[in-house]
Amino acid sequence: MAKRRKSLIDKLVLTIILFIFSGFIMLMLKNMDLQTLIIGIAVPLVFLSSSMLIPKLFSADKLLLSLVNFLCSLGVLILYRMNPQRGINHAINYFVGLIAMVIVMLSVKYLSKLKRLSLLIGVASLVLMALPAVIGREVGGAKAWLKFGGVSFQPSEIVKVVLVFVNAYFLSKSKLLMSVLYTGLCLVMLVLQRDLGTALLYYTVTLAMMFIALGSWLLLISGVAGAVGVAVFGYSMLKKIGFAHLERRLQAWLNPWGNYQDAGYQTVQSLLAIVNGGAFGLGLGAGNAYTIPVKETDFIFPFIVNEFGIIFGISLIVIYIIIFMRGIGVAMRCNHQMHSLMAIGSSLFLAVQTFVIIGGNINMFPITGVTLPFISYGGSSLLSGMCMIGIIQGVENINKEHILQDEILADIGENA
Amino acid sequence: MAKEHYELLALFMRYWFVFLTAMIVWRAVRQMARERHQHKRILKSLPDAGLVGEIVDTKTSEAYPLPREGFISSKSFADIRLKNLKKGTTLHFEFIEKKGIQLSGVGRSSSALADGTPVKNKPYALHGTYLEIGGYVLRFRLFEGLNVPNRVQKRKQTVDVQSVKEYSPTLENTWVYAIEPPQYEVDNNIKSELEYTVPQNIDYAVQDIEMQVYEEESPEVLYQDGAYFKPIGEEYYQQENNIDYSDGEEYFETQNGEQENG
Repeated sequence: MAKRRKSLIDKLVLTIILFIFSGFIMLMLKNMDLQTLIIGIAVPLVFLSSSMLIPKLFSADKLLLSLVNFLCSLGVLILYRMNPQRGINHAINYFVGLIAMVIVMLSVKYLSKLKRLSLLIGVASLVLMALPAVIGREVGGAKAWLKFGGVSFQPSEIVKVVLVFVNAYFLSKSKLLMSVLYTGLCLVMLVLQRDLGTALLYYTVTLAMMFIALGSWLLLISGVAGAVGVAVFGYSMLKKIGFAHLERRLQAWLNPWGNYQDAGYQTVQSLLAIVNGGAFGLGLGAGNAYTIPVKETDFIFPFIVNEFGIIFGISLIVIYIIIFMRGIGVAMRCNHQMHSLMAIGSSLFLAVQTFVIIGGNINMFPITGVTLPFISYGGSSLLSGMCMIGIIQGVENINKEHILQDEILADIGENA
Repeated sequence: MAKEHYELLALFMRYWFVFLTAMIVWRAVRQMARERHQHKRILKSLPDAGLVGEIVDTKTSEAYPLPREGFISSKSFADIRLKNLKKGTTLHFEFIEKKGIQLSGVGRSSSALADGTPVKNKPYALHGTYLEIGGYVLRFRLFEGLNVPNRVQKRKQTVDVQSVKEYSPTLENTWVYAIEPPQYEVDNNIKSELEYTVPQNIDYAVQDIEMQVYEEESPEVLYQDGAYFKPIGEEYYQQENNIDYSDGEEYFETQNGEQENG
C-alpha cells in the first residue's frame, strides 16, 4: 500500500510540536518534576488538536492557525520557565482564546447583517471604556484595569475587537463622520485612563482603515499631521496635565544610558539581555535576564532573545510578518467591503502592536505599555488577539464560499 | 539534573531550537507561496471571480464589472467610477443572496432611481433593472446562475386596454411595446391628437409602430395609444423643410390603410 505523503502544512505542525515538546522536556530536566511533563504533553496535544481539528470542522486557514498556535505555545513555554503558575494560567487563557476564536470565526458571516446592533455594541463598548476611569485600578501609570470577583481585565483590549467591527461597518457605508466620532470618544476614554500606548494603537489602526476605505490622501496627511501636532503640544504640557510617567518614558527613550539607574533602567536591562543572548542565545532555562522589570508582559521579547538568540528573535518577527501578510491577503481577496475592512483592521492591530512593543524593547520607540501578541502574559490581551485571528479566519471562510460560488457560476456560464 | 550538566545541555539545545525555528519559518513561507500560486491559478481559471455581473451605460454601451459589493461614485475609491457624476453622488450596492443587488444612497444621492423606485427605499436591482443616476442610465446585467429572483416587469397598467383597442383597432398588438422599460407612467386619459402638448422623455418612444402622418397634423409629435412618438423619415424631413406638396399627388396613408391625397 502506498504511503500517504505528508503535506507541507503537516510537516510544519510536526516541527512546531517538536519545538514545544523539546522545550518542555528541557524544563522538566531542569525542574525534575511531573507537572512540567504533564504540561509538556498537554500543550502540544492542545496544539495538535486545534491545528488539525479546527480547520477540519470549521474550514479555517491551517497556516494562520498553526503559526498563532505556535506563538501561544511559545508563550506558555516561556512563561512556565519564568513562573510555572503564570505558564499554567497562560495555557488556560490560550484554551479559552481558542474557543473565543471559533465563536468569532463563525459569527463574522452574520456581523454585516447586524446593522442596528453595531450601534448598540458601539455604545456598550464606550460605557465599558468609561468604567476604568471611574472604578478602575492603576497599573504602570495607566488606570485601565477593572477587577470583578478576583478576575481583572483591561476593557480597552476587548474594545479593540469592537472598534474594528464598528469602524468597518461605518466605513463600508461611507459614514466617515460616525467613524471619527466613535474613535474620538474611544480615544478620549483612553486619555482619561492615561493609557496612551493603546490610544496610539487605536488612532493608527483607525486612520489606516479610513485611508484604505476612502482612498483619501488628504485624510491621511491631515491625520498624521494632527497626531504630530498633538504629540508636540502634549509633550510641552505633560506635567501640567498629569502625565508625568510619560515624561520619564520619553527621557528613558532619548537617553537610556544617562538614566540607567532610574527611568532608563528597563530599557538598559532589555538591551543588555538582547546583547548577552547573542546570535544563538544562552539556552532555554540558562538565561540571565531576571532583572528586566515586567518581563512577563511588556518585556518578554528581550527575555526570549536572551535565551533563544537574535536569530530566533528575527524568526519570530518574520512569523508576525507572515501573520500580517496572511491577514492582508485575506482582506484583499475579499470582495465585501465590511469584511475586508474587518480583516485589515485586525491584521493592522496585531502588526502595529508587535511593531510598537518590539520597537520599544530595542529602544526604537518610547515604551508604550502594550503586550506582545499571543506571547505576553495577560488574559485580555490574548483573548483580543485570538478574536482578531477569529475575524481573519471568518473572512477567509467567506472568501472560500465566494470562490466556490464563482466556480459554480463559471460552470453554468460554460454550459449555457 | 546537576546545574552544570543542564547548562551544557541548554547550550547544545539552542542550536536545535534555532534549527527548528528556521524550519518553521521556511515551511510557513513555502506554504504561503504555494497557496498564492494556487490562488493565482484559480483566478486564471475564473476570470470573473468576485463579480456578479456588469453594469452597462445605455448611452455609451460601456460596461463596468459589478463586484459583490461596492460604491458607484465619481471618487477614486469607487468600485464603479462614473467620472461625470456629480461630486456628492455616491451609491452603495451589495449583492444579497436570493434578493438581488441592494442599492442605497449615501448622503445626497437618494434621488437615483432603480426601475423608477427611489434608492432611498433601498430597492433590489435584478437582471435588466435600469438605474438612473445623475444623468446616467445604467442597466444591470447579472450572471446566469445567481440565486436571485427574475425581474418582474413593473408595468403601470394605467392604460385601459379596451379603450385603446376602440381607439386604434389596428394597433392592438403593438401597444404593449410602447410601454416597455424604462417605464414611465402612461397617460390613460387619451386625448385627441391635436389637443396634445409636447411631453418630456419623447426619446423613449417606440419606433417599431407604423405610424401614419397626416399633412394637417402637427409635424413634430404624434400621440397614439398611450405612447409618445416622434415621426421620422422622409415625410417628416419634407414637412420640416416646408416642401410644397400642392401637386395633388398621394403622399400618405390613412389609419385604415387607404391612400389619400395630401
